Amino acid sequence: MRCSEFNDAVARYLEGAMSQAEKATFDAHRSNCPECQDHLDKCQELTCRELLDFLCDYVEDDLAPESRRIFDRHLEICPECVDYVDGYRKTVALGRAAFERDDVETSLPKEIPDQLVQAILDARRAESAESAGGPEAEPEAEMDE
Amino acid sequence: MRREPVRGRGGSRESHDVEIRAVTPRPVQRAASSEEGLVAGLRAGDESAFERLVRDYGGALLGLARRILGNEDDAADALQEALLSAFRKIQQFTGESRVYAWLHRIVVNASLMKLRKKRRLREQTIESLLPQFKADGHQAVAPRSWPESGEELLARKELRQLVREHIARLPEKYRDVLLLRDIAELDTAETAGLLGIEVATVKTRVHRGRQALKTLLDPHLSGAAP
Repeated sequence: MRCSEFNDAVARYLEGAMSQAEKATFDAHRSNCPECQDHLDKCQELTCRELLDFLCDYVEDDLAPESRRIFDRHLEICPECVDYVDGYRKTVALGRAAFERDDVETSLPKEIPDQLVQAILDARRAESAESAGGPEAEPEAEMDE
Repeated sequence: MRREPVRGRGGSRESHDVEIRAVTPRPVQRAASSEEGLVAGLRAGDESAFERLVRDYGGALLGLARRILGNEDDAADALQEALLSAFRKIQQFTGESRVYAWLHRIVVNASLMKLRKKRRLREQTIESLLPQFKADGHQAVAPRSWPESGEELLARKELRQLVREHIARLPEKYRDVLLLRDIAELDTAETAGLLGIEVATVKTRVHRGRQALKTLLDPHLSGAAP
């Protein structure tokens, strides 16, 4: 593999898109070529901004293995990003929990009250009559007010 | 502008009339054929199908609205607004087997809008809630750590109301995606199908929505544990 070919292959390497044979050739070249290894290291440096851009894929395990390694390397040296990732994960968990059933609710009836069903059906009919341009439907019942 | 619904408790319906399009059906879905019949009936304007929708899903959805709003009257109003909105939008719903996920989002949105109005919470712009960066790629303001563990935070039930109120303050397009992806737990493709947007757009919005929610929660959860 020539250095120019190595250079062209870096993107595929970072995306984890190489076959095993291609990767072996790529790895053999960089182990013998300090300049190409240096170039690869620079390509693999991630800023905090780039890390945050790909954070969603990272926490959902959607990153290619090599990208994940680059991500993890950044986290090893950047406590600020570690804090951010931790807060981000906790935010997702809290968002999910915010709409879960709670203890009070499980003790309440799961059926919809018949009075409310009737009120909704009445409202629907009134709306339907209105949109059809017909006469205003009279409310059949005034509910709980 | 239509007049108030018959129950007439002053609810607004302006903010949750959202665009609803196709959704990818899940391969395994119990009672899918019965849902197909329900949707067909709704699309044909069949009042008895609407009644079935109200009776079949109303109880669970009322519980959901009650959980967000904390009282029966407001929950009933939100449910009514949401179900009428769903019926108006049924022509845009072409997925047959995800009726509950579709209704779930409409009810949560209607409830959050009512909550926002009740608590006089202002919607925030997304830009003000996203991290800012210096020219070298570092964050302009160092993120603050949240000292409590995930388990400790989840055990604090009182945080749920706080989180719901802050979700209510997110701009609608971010809130919508967050509700479908993280709350209703649809996957990215299903969310994209339901909202009629690109998969890449879903990913961007869910990420920004989470970042914005994190920023809103930061003052409450960073620093010393209570």
